[in-house]
Amino acid sequence: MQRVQRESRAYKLFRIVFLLFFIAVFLLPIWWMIKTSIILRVDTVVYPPQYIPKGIEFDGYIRIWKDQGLPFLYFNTIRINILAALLALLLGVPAAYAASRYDFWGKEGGFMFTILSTRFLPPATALVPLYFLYRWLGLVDSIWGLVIAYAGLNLPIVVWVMRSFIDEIPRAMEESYMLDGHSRVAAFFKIIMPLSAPGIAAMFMICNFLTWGEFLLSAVLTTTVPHQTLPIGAAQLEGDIGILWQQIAAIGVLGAIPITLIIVFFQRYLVRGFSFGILK
Amino acid sequence: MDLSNVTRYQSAVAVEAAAPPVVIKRRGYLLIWPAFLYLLAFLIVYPFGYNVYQSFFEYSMLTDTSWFAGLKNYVGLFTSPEYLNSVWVGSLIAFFCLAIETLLGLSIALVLNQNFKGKVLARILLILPLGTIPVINGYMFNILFFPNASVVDHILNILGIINGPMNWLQDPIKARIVIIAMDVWQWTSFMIIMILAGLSAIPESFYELAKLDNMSTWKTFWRITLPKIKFPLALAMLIRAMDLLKFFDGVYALTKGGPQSATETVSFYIYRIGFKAFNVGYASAGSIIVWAIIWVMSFIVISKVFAAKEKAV
Repeated sequence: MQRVQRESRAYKLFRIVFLLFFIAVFLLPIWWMIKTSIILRVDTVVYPPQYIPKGIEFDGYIRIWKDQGLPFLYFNTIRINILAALLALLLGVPAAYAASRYDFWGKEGGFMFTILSTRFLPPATALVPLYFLYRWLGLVDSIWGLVIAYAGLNLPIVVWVMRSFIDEIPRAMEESYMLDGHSRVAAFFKIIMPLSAPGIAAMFMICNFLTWGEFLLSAVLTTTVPHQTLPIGAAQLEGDIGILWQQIAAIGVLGAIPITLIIVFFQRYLVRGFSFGILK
Repeated sequence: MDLSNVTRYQSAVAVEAAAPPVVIKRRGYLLIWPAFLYLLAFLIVYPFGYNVYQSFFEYSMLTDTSWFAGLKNYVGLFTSPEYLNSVWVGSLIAFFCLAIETLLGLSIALVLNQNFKGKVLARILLILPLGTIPVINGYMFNILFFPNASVVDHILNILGIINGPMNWLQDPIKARIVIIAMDVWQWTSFMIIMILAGLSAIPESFYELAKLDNMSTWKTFWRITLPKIKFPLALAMLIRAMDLLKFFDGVYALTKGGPQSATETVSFYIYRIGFKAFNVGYASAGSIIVWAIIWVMSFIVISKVFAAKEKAV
């Protein structure tokens, strides 16, 4: 409702209270995560709770760095997500181009439908088959196993969203380029790629956002620290002696930073990614 | 990146209408097959086939052998109170999450769509939950609702809403409420941005006309806003509904399905039965049933998507 209208004072006050209430509720768990990561160990779970920590220490961060293999976990998460995003783009962009520019039998109802339907399958249902396949291929506890699985999670969204980006590029541009004697392949690289570069970059970011916190597949398909990701690293801090809150919160803070940056700076593309390119 | 080609051929756009589009049929297949086969192999044909196969067998992790069991797994599953419970619990949690997220998302998005100072900041703060890792949120909610040291209890006690400790995670109903609260907390932001996208597409002139007509705010919402955002709203709700069937991480970190499997969702059941109890046959049969549900649902979602695309073109 962008219209210019006179809003009553009472309404303005209501709006401020309403928004502040929800902002407070939304930020409470985030603040608690930041606070738990730096509060003194003895004060992590106390009653009455300390909303502002009375004393701080960075023990949680030091311990995850030294004992829990944080450098491994972080580096693994980054490289698995980046490789999975690149693999999904490599397979997905040509498919998106075909879906946008060619017309062939079974395109919408067959190919595109099947591709999108995989977006909705719960990873749990593919868990048993993937585990046995990976065991046979020797991919259990390997970063490549996760790259392959995550690329599969990204692919339907890449195909659909990139198709919507390429649909926006006028056909006439590549056609006249081709009339000049260039091949379609050349047109793809010289016209389509430069024009859809912002879309590809955004899609790359959205892919990283989508698989960054993935838990179930990596919980089952990896078993040792050198191949695990941040969410698994956090879950393993829950042991027989109790839950190491400080360390979990520290992983949470460090893990949230990159994706928070993505959602803040790529907000516009987030909607597009969520809606398979339908909403812009 | 070299954009000289792009600018040179931009003029061609002007004559687009004159020339019919060149349609080359064959080669489209070549480009779409890699992506298609990849998904088919890793996410559809192989897992589905394997699940079907395993669902007729009993498997022993100990000896790594399996033997034919006929329909035993399916019969066992449908008479298993645990599986039926997980379907019931999953649907219950999904229903409440979806209802609350939609209502909250809609009201917050309507307010955020107005003009006021600090709008951009409010918008960013309200989508921050999306940037957190779900499994870690599970642990944070564990602290917030910790027995005898719950932050939420403390706040509610100060406000005078409750008196004394609530022991959220020991009681089946309260534990479900906590699980729902956690999902609502993280995913209302998703609803907000989807609905905002729909709202921003409504031309201002619609509202000007409504004002000229002296329409009340309430009437404007029902007659103009809601019909215009019907599609994004329905799409967002369906996506959420499907994703709720995958609900796992938070449950794992917060309750492990407890107390007494009061919060065990279907995904959690499949994980527990397949990888903790090593009853692969049950897990596979359970997966097959979930697939059947998902395929019916995704058919509905996707046909809606296609309908919207055709309307747009």
